[in-house]
Amino acid sequence: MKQANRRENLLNLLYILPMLAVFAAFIIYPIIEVFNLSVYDRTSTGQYFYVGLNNFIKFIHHRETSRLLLNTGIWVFVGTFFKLLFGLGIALVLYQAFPGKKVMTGIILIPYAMPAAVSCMIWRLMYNPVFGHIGDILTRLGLISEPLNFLGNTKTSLLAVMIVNVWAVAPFCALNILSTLYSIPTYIYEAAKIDGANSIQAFFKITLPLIASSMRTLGLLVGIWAFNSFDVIFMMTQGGPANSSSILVSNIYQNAFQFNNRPYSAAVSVVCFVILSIFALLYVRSKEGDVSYE
Amino acid sequence: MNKPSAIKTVKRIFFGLLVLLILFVMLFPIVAMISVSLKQANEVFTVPVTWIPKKPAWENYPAVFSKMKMTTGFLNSILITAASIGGIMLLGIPAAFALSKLRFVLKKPVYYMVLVSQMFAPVIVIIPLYSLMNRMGLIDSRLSLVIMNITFNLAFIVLMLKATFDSVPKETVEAAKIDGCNSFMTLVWIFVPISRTGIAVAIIYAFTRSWNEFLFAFTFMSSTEKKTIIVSLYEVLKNNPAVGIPWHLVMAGAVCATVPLVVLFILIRNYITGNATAGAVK
Repeated sequence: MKQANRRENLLNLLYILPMLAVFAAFIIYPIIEVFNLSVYDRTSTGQYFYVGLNNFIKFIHHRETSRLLLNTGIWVFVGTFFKLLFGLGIALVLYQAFPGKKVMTGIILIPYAMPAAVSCMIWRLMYNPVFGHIGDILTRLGLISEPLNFLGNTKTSLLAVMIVNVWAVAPFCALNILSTLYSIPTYIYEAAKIDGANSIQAFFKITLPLIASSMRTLGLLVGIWAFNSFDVIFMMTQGGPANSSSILVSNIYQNAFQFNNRPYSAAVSVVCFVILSIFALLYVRSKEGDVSYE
Repeated sequence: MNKPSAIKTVKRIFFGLLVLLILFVMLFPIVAMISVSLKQANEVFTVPVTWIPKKPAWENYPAVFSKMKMTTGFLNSILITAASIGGIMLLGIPAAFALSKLRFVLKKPVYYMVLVSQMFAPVIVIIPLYSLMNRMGLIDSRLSLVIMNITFNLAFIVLMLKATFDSVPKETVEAAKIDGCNSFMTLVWIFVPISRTGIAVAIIYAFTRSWNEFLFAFTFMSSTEKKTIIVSLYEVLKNNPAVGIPWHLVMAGAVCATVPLVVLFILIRNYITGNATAGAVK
């Protein structure tokens, strides 16, 4: 019996072997290669030679590094904060019963369902300083008198791209928070009402504490996505002007394919990998601690 | 009795305004897209911006295919997406079934690997992947995009399918075993039919993510006739100065590339909530 069990345990591996093979070839092997490449450098003739941690020392001393780290921090933390805040707001609205609720749920799905490339195209047009829609609205409202170049200005470019990202991801957060709200049994609210709690008290004393743990998991997930989101920034500004909207992952791509500096790019990849590992660990632990009220 | 009802009316008006504000913020880029897609070429650049086109230019939509030659882009996207979905499901369904219902060696580590592997963005390993594809002779081949789509969507889809299979009672496996089904037959004849809704939702997710893929489609493909619709549209923006872009046609193309996704998402809207963070250890 014991032997039959062991045989079954091994046979069942066949179900997951194809998946493991794909992961080994296209995720694990490339990660090892990136670590390997990060300790080499290349001569102008294409010869690779071992340099130890030189690329990392270069990264620490590079004059762009502090800006990249700051941008990444702003992009991840500020972005995630607003995604969760607007997500929570929309979820609380959708939790109420009102006519047209179903239509509204369908509509807020559109920004989330859209290809990132398409939303970037629309926003690039809308941000245009001459014939863009945002400048038009702000001028009509009398908020600005002359055209503003949101994407072309080093002070506003990161913020402008972040707005697009918040717009696209907040609906996803909203739906997620909404499903958590639905999982809170209504009798808790009824009991609180009998005890004389008003709706604001109920929100801060019941809803918020109960959704906090799943909000934390969601925040980690959305933060990890933001850290990884190369395409939005690349398509909106290519990280410019003058690197003002670059984050760490855009730097990887630039060094690999635009400056043709692959060993250095691999070193930045390793830095990203380490940062992501920490967040991945937090995410897994947070997920295990998630409370459910079903 | 008058006072509470007055407060109620104020609350209702405030709530209505809030709903309108959310709808406005979510919708105005989409309205802008549709509005520009129906403009004549010169109306795009008029100041102040016209929100409703003077004379709707429906001919922009056929022009996406005739003038901008986006037909091949669409065909490439359809081909790559279909093959990717096939591959993801072929590898993902058995893996999710095993993770949900079967015992095998190293189950816990495999589960954590699946969970963690979706945290790492493909851009981090773009250099080794590029050289790997190069050595396999797959640069500028549609197959490379199919392989990448499978690799980087598999974990997410496996977790989704696992959550679906988890909701099927464990006794089903045992009952099928007594009736003489081995685990593979149980999967094919019982689990797949029972879970068809969950599988359909997973297919739609796989569709969206493969259709929207940008990084590899942009980096690996060099021949124009092999590019996906997303990259083809983006290149119109990339290769022209802002005033030289045929925005009306780009936006018409953008609408065409978005409509299938929005329709699919609205179909599955009841299943979206909660799924994305599914897969927690219970």
